[in-house]
Amino acid sequence: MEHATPDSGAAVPRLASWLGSVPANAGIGRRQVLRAGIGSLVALGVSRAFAADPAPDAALVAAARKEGTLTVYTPSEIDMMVNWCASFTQTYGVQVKAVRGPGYPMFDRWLNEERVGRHFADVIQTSDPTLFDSPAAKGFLATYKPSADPAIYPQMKRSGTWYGLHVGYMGIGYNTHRLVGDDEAFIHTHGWDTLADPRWRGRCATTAAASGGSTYAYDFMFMVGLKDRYGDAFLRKWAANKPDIYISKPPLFDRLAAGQYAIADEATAADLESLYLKGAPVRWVFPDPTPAILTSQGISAHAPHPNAARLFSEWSLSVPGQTAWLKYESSGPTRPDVVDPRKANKRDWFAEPWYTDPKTLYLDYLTEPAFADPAKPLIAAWNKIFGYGDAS
Amino acid sequence: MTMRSALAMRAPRARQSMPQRDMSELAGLLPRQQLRRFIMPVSLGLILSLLVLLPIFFMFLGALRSAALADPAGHFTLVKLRQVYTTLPYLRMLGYSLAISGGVAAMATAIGVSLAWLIARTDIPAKRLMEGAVMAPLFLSPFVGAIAWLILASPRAGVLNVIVSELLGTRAFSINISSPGGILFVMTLYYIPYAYLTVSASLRSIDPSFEEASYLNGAGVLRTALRITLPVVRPAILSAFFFIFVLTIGTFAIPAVLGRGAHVPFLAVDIFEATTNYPIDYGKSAAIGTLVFWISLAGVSFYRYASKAARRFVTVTARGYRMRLVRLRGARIPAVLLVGVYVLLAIVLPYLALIYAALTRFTTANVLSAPWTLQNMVDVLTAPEVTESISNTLLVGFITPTLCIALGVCLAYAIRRLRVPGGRLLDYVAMFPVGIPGIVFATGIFWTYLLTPIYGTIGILIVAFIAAYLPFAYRIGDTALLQIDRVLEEASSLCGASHWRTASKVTLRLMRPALLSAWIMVFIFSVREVSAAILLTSSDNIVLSVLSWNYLDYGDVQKAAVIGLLQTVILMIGVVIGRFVLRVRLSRPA
Amino acid sequence: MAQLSVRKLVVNYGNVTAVDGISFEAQAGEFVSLLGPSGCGKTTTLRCIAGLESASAGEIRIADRVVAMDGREVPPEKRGVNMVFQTYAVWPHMSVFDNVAYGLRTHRRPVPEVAVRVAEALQMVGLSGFESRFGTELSGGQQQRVAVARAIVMAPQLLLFDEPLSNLDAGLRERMRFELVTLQRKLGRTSIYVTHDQSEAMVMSDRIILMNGGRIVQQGSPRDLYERPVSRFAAEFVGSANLLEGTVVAQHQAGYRTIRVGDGIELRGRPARTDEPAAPDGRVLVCIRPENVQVVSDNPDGDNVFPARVARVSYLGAALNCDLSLGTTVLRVDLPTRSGLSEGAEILVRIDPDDVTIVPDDA
Repeated sequence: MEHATPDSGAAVPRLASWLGSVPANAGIGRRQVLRAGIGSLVALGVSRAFAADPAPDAALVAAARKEGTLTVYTPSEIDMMVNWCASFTQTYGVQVKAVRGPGYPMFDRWLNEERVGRHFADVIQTSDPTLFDSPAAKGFLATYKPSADPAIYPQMKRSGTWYGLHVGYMGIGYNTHRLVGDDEAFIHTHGWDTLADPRWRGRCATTAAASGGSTYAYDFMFMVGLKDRYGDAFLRKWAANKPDIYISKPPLFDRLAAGQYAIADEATAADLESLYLKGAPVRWVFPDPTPAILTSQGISAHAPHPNAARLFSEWSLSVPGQTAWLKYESSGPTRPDVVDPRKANKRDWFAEPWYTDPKTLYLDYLTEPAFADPAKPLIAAWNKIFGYGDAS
Repeated sequence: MTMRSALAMRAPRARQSMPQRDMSELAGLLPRQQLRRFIMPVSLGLILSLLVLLPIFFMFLGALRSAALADPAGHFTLVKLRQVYTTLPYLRMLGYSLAISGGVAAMATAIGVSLAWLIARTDIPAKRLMEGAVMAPLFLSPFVGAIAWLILASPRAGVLNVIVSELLGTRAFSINISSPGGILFVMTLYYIPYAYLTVSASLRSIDPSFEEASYLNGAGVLRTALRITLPVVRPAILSAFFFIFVLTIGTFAIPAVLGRGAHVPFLAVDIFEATTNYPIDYGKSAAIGTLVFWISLAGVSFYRYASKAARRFVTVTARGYRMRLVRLRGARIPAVLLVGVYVLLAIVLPYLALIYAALTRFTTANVLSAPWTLQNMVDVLTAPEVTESISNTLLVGFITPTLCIALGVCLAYAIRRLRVPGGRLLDYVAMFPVGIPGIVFATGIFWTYLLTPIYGTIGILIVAFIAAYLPFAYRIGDTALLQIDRVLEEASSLCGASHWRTASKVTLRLMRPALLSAWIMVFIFSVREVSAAILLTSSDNIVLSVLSWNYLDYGDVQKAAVIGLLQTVILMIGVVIGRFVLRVRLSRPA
Repeated sequence: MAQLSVRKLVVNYGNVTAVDGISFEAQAGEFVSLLGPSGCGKTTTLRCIAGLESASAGEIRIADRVVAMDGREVPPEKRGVNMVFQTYAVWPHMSVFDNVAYGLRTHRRPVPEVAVRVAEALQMVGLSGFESRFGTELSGGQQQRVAVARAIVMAPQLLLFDEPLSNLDAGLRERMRFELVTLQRKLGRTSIYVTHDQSEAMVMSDRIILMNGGRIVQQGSPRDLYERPVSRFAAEFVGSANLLEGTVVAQHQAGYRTIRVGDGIELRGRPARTDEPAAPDGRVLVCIRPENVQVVSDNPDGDNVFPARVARVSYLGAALNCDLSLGTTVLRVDLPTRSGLSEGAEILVRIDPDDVTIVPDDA
């Protein structure tokens, strides 16, 4: 792949205004809704603007090799993570120990370890980068600007603190064996309003708002971000379909694939792609706008292997690093010059007529103070609407 | 004279109080209380403090804090406790939990006692095989069993449901395993062996003349069983009930796996969710933990009371009774069928489901058109983290029971034989862990050991498991000790053997069968354990159970199933070694 | 020098006093029995001597070495004593040889010595050839022998027996009594033997210490105890006895007294001890052993001759056990079988005044 000369001015991806694309909803203009255009066109269009990342500093590589190893705390699937890290080890000869756990407990554990001065983790990954705010303010996060910094979309990083690795989109998944009549056409033409239709009653499932950051971001879009377009009224209609409520997404999609449900929302590519590849009768759509989750990483201020951590940061944000990840999961890259080989070659679902890329991504919650409110008031409201948990 | 001087060194304090005239003569007298009064209880107390009391302390402390313990922004508050102890949602959840645990304990005990009676007191054929069948569910972690049942009987997509509806052409007979009833059913299946274990020893050791007298008074088999046999072992039955009650109320795996689509209100599940879901609330999980703790403490007290009474009733004598077995005659076939149905539900179907899941590309209810593959097996068996976790599992599986049994025996010996001061207290504390939900306990262990070198290593898992299973090791050790006639040890003392030599040459040798079966039990638990391990896992100490949990957490039921099967293979190898090399039986002949 | 000396031994269990300040000694080579009903404190005393039980007060010396005093004690394994238990306590996980060799091995005796001494001990108890058997494969009597062999192999300073024969059946028990005594005489070991069976104590002991309620009631040779009981308890517990309540009506020389019992029968007899002071009101018990009543001819002479009627006869083989009515007083007596008495016969009986023991009425 060829690369053009560096042009820092093009480092900002093209942003489109939600207002502009949906004029009928001018009422929400008071909230500035940002969109990142991530279609292949956009990505390919700007990729030419970047140079290849400069090779990492030889001194850094030497220092990292001397440390020999690093530990990453991650919420990502362990096999994928191990395979991905193996590419890094292959390139630089530095071992990676990946510790996987559920996202929030994992992050919390790192914080507690740092608070009492036990330093194990070098690199911390999370799918909720707002979590980084408080530790960054308290000095638990190292300040390091990898050479890929300018290439990353601006809303997918806090320069020097954390950087997004890849973006997951959340849409609606369905089991073709459980559809009847014009169900599939309906799903593809009605956007998010699909969920509000009574036809799904008794054959649908969703995930509780309390289940994690990605779910919270998803519900945040309907309840706060796009309150005027959707809001509680929309969720009430969805709730009226009596979806089974899961507290964890993966078992839900296992059951979707098994045929227990016709549709389920909050389906990420990661959830459904692997099932599709195994031959399960599942498909998915990304209604517009598409809520996205940003898996991000930061370096611990007291990383026991600071150089290895930096080198890992350099590699994971570089084009080869991000491209390597796409081998295992077809998420969106966080820089425009990374090309998903499967997409480029129209492989797998990219070849399917039913598949369409998300158009506009909803990532605004990252800058919303209401989103970071530790009391998470939306959970109680959501529970009330769906008659779930403590509120039941 | 050498002995005299050695003894004098051990008795400095008492010597001061002796009258002057006796000094020469009495210098040789050992105040025998010295060792038991001080060294033993203090060191055992220290160990128990580190293993049990400190984690519990951190649980209570956590319930009083507004944020994580190490978070400087946290402050003391009663909000969490007030919320959990006084508000309606929690009280309702408490009601549900008590009802479910009570129901599970009642059903598991009823079935376990029936099976124990059939196997111990009747002429049911192939007894050893039957007993093996009843104990076999112990090899399947309840968590994996729940996954299997989800594959079998989830509404609409459960394999059994689909087969039945295809055959009958109607969905009328659909089973919903994700309902409170389903959870009750699966929990009952996996707790029956505990009831069986608790009661069968008692049933075997009743003086048969009780029953013979009943027959001679004209009572039939059923009447004798109901009016004589069961009342005599009633304390054992009660202790089985409370034991299972305490175990279930702190277990989250089955309701968490099965209740995912239905949200069954269960305290232990809420604890799990408070530590895993958004936003994480350790205060809440600790507060619920304290609530469960009090309930379990009450359960443990009842259990202790009942098991004490059980000992009174049961005659353990050296005389070899010729047990008169009840002739089942025509009831033999139904009796065998009953065991068969249990084995089918607890073992055969779940393992078929696991094998099915392990051999398919994704979970589907359509068995005929299932996408068969060996890829899951290949993937799992070649993954480096699996190899690593197998060796970690084996390491934990061998060290944990060894240390745990050693500690349990020391405790039982100190309390029962040396009658150390504070023995009653030690006895209570040793039973505490059984009443604390695994996750809350693991959180306590986390805070206790965060600053020590074992944190982040395999050592912390071993410590957590030792503490969690100490109650089992201690109880079994205690029971075994009770059954050893003291004169066997006294005879050794009089032959000039010291405490240590007596303990090692006589007491421990005689306890060996019981201790080996306890070892196997704790081995099984350690290989299976999930809840305490999840929170403490790190890159260096991942074990199979955590790996399968992680796979499931990422929706990979297939790999989780492969790991579940792998665990069973390891357990079976361990048990086969135990059974045929060391000649251990899981159920102890009384 | 006393081999064992117990002085003012007290054992309390909470509020219960099991042993209430007893003192006694055993000389080297002596066979002393502690006899009494269950709960009299005999086993507790024995266990205190062994060191298995803690004394609350008092002093115990073995071969002049203090082993217990004022609550401080030498542990049992350092006392140089050994014991044969009621339940044998043969270790079921060891062979007969290992059981017997246990103590020698504990003291790290060289292997050849162990082999020789174990073989000797087993031969002495008649178990040669049983070395490799396990405890569970032996009969009760054989287990008993293993227990004895295990106790004697160490050549202890004191041999203690805790009702060792009570679990054996009658015939075997009888035989073992003699075997044990023979063995003890041969070894010359000082032995303390606890039993509740008075005939066992009588047959085996040099001296019997009779206990009741935690105290010593009487001690002496079997003959002493039998012929000169000092209390109602002693008379009743040792052998069978006719005990009649009566009043002293006259004193004679050489300690003889005349006692009136029942409806006017006057008996001549003498107290168990010559120094026995008469009760202030003169009330005493008269003890007559069943075998000491003789049938005499028509022309009797001397004291204590009474007409009697045979009220009941039981045939015991060696004797006839009869109830004789002397007026309102009934005596149970053993008469020779050849006397051929039948119920209702009127006879004359005589009781030697030396066989009429006057016992203080302590009831």
